[in-house]
Amino acid sequence: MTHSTAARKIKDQANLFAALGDPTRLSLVAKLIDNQLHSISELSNNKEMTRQAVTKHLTVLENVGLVTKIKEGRESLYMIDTAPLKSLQDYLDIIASQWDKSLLQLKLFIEE
Amino acid sequence: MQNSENIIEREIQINAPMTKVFKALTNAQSFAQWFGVHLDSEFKEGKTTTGKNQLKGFEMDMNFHIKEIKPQHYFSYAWTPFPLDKTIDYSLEEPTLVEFFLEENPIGTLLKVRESGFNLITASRRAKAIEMHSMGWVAQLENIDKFLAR
Repeated sequence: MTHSTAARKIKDQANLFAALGDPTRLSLVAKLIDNQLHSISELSNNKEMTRQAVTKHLTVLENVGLVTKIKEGRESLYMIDTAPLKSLQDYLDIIASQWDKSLLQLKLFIEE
Repeated sequence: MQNSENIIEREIQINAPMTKVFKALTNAQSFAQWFGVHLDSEFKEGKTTTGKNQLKGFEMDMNFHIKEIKPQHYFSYAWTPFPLDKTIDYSLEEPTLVEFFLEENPIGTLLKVRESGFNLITASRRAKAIEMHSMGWVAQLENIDKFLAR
């Protein structure tokens, strides 16, 4: 992997983490994890939250690719897209491969 | 060696005595050389050493919050790995902990590095709301992994 590719990937991961690093959005993801389509009123149910606030949070999740929006008539329905979560593992793998590289540099530095 | 949900563990055999490995890790000038970062001060327990990485595509300001320096077998610091996004205030985020463990053996030193406390876990800890749900976040992530592996 080239440095710029890795850098871009790490930036994407940072955005994903930021999107998940909010209790409301994390609880929305937890509701969506059943892989079904959900309406905004379903998702704002039992919450002290307006439809507007829920929509705002869903847009953040949509921007990082965690949520897909489907228009059905006048209503918007939301569904989870798990592909970015799979890439959380990629994020750790990238950092791990950086450690492999750094440790090798350390070994060469000491042994030379 | 593993990369589980929130821990990275790596190790390497270095053909040199522990004292030499320990010095390369904890002496800021040496660290700067093999790690490839410009450091502004020595490493001291409880202090923060600021640094800059100039590598193209990886330009970033790095902060090493030094936790413990235990000659000749342990060194740890907290930091944000890859603080690449200039628009994010990383000081507000939970840092990860990097720990180095040194073990002497007949051919030199076995060095282990463990990085723990990645943000997903931080996020789930912040998100007390999630506990209202039947499954915790980590369990859900495992389910997603199982689902994707099918």
